[in-house]
Amino acid sequence: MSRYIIGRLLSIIPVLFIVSFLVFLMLHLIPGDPVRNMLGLHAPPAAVEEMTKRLGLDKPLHIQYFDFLQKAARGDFGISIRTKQPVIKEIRDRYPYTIKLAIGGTIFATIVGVLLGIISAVNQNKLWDNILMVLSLLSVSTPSFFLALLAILFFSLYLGLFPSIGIQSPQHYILPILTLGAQSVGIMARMTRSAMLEVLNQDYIRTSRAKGMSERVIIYSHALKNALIPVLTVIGLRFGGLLAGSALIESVFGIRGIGRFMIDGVLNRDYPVVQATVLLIASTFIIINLIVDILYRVVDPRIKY
Amino acid sequence: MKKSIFLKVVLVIAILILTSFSVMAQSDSAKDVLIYGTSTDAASLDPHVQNDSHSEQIVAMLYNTLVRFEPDGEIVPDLAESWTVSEDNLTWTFKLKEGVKFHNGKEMTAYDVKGTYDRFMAEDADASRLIAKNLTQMFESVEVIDDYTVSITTEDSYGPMLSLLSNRTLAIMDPDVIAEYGASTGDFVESSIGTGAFKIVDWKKDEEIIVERFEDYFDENAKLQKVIIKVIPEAASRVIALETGEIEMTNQFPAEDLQRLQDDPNITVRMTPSVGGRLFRFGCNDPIISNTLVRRAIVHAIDRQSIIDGMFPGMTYPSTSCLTPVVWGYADLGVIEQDLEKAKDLLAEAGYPNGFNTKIVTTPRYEKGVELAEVLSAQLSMVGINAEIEVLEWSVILPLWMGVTPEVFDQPMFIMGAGTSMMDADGGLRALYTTTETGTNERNYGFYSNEEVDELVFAAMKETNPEKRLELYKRAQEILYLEDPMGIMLFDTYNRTAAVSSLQGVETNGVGMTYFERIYFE
Repeated sequence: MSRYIIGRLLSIIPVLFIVSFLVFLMLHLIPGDPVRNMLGLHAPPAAVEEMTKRLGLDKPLHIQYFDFLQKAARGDFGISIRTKQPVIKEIRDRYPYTIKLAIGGTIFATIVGVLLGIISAVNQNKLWDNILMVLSLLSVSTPSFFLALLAILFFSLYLGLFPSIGIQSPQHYILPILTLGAQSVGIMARMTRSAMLEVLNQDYIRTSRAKGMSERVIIYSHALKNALIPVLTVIGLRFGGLLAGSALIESVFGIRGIGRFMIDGVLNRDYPVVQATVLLIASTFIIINLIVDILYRVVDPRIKY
Repeated sequence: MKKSIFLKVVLVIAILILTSFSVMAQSDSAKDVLIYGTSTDAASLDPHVQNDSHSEQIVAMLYNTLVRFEPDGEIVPDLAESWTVSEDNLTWTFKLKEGVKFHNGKEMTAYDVKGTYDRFMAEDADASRLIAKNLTQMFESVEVIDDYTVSITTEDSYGPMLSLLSNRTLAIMDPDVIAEYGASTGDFVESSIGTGAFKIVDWKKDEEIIVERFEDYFDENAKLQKVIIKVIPEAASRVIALETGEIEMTNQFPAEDLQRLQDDPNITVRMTPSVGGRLFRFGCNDPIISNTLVRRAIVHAIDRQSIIDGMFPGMTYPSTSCLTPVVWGYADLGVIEQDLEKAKDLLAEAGYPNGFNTKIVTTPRYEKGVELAEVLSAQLSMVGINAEIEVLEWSVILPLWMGVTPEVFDQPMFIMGAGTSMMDADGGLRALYTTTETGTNERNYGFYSNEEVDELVFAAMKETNPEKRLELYKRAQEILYLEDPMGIMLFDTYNRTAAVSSLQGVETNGVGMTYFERIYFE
């Protein structure tokens, strides 16, 4: 197993290589100019030229890419064209917020989603099942942006329960985490429901019931454990989705996370920022999936690597 | 079983909600701390470099200029207490106030003024600092007469000198700070040192800037002790934050929210006239658009009031010139009413009785930029002009506008914002509408060229008699606005602030800068 883990960890490197190359290519091939963005509409051409040279943006593309690789290997991801701070410092400052939101959102979505999925499965085709499936449809189809604004309007403005902007205290995390995770609740619920249904119809479940075991033990000890594999997969995928999709929530709540930073980077053609943040999110995602794969083994000892 | 777990979850959520009541207790600001919401972080706090209104507002809090604008446009002493002009109108001598301190404790003298100006006037001045350099091309030299007297000599007589010097881009800095930080000046707290009523104490990029009252300010101290400038990118969130009290003032809110904010008894909305206007400029290199009659036809085909009523109700009024009323030199030439018959006649006279095909380029960066283009296109179709719309992202449109040649420029009509930090017609007209020498458009993005306008504007620049200047500018505006239009002037924008009603002393000048040192809580 440890050989497997080491092998997976090593495979991150070529993947990141490919990702960084693709991102670099895309960034430089789309129209738009970071220097003009920075200097503004009225900057004279001489200023634009000078700044372009200073940032090394006039060098041929392959030189720029190798420069980037060399520096990245040393942990130097350059300076943000827009904020003029070292990118690594910006990431260190902003990443924790996004990670906390993504983890919080995933935990919330998992707990609520799995619970609702179980209830649905156990009450298949009865009233509860129908209600919960409609709710999960709503949760999936409501844009997180819209939901966030509604939540702020309702919980902050009308009820005065939660703060609407910033991330200074634990209470500030509640609305962002709930709105970020809300979409995933529906997906988790559906996934859990179908996985549970498949398991609950198996022979060994019928045998357990015949043996007289309590329904609760059957559902949580036997059925759920077997249904967990597909659910775990979804958890891993959703976490990645929440990491990348946090930009909208961060914008609405005024949180300086990595999602917003990355989007601003793209809009401003801030090359160093986009390179570094995409690599960061890609690596996080790869590691999360590795953890999920390891958890498969924990949940089902029959799986061998 | 599942029900009991469900109940437990509901219980936990209920506890969370109840414990959160403490959060919305009081807004955590005392009576002398203001929380101000803005949409974007400052790009730079180096006055000579900054080029956007968000940076400029904070620069205005941290730095001073030799003279400054009052809210009504009057120019009054700031760092200079008095000034004289030489007989030949070429040398301006400023007597500086004594005892002015920088935020680092150093006293400001004429040497600092010279050092500040030399920075961007030098031959080898870092080209990326050229924002200030570009504004002062007519300056020949800055000399120290004595510790508190400095003179600026211009190559030719320059009428709008005082207006130019009021521009925050020419704020006085500490040359030692510039020497120490070089290109990083204005990028973080330690390198943003001015003489202003506030000093910066914290800057978390994209999150907030905190400024505190500078106790050794040379003028009357600011009434507020601290201002926290919070970055809230999403407009709806900003408005809600104002309504919940999490911020206490903002100057950016969408037109749709105006009514709601005005109706809120706890919020006061203030609208002040601004130097800014919205227009669509003509790309005069286009074969059809270069025809003066065609341009006159187009400006008469547009119904400005209906655009305002539909998209910005209550927020503005139609333009009456290519400058706005707060710009010195403005001449009221009346609203151009829509006259479709006249437009069609002019088109026929120009040789296009059945109209023609063209293109409008726009960007959503300007508020409702895309919708404006759509309405324009619809109105133009009523006279047979078929205008397709091209929407470009800001990053993409910038390089297409700047430093291009007429062969490359392909925007017969394009959206633009008008405005000048100088509040003087020289700033509003010269760089934008006079023929460029280099062959590229520089700031005359639409390649507009009219000999008489060139003569008038340059003559007015050199003229030091205000009456004569006004006459020259009036004639220039008649040409630019009516006779040989440079674009479709739509409306003048207002500077708007929305603040909690307990906030008083909120004054904003035409450039859009609010005087934070005058604000206080009742």
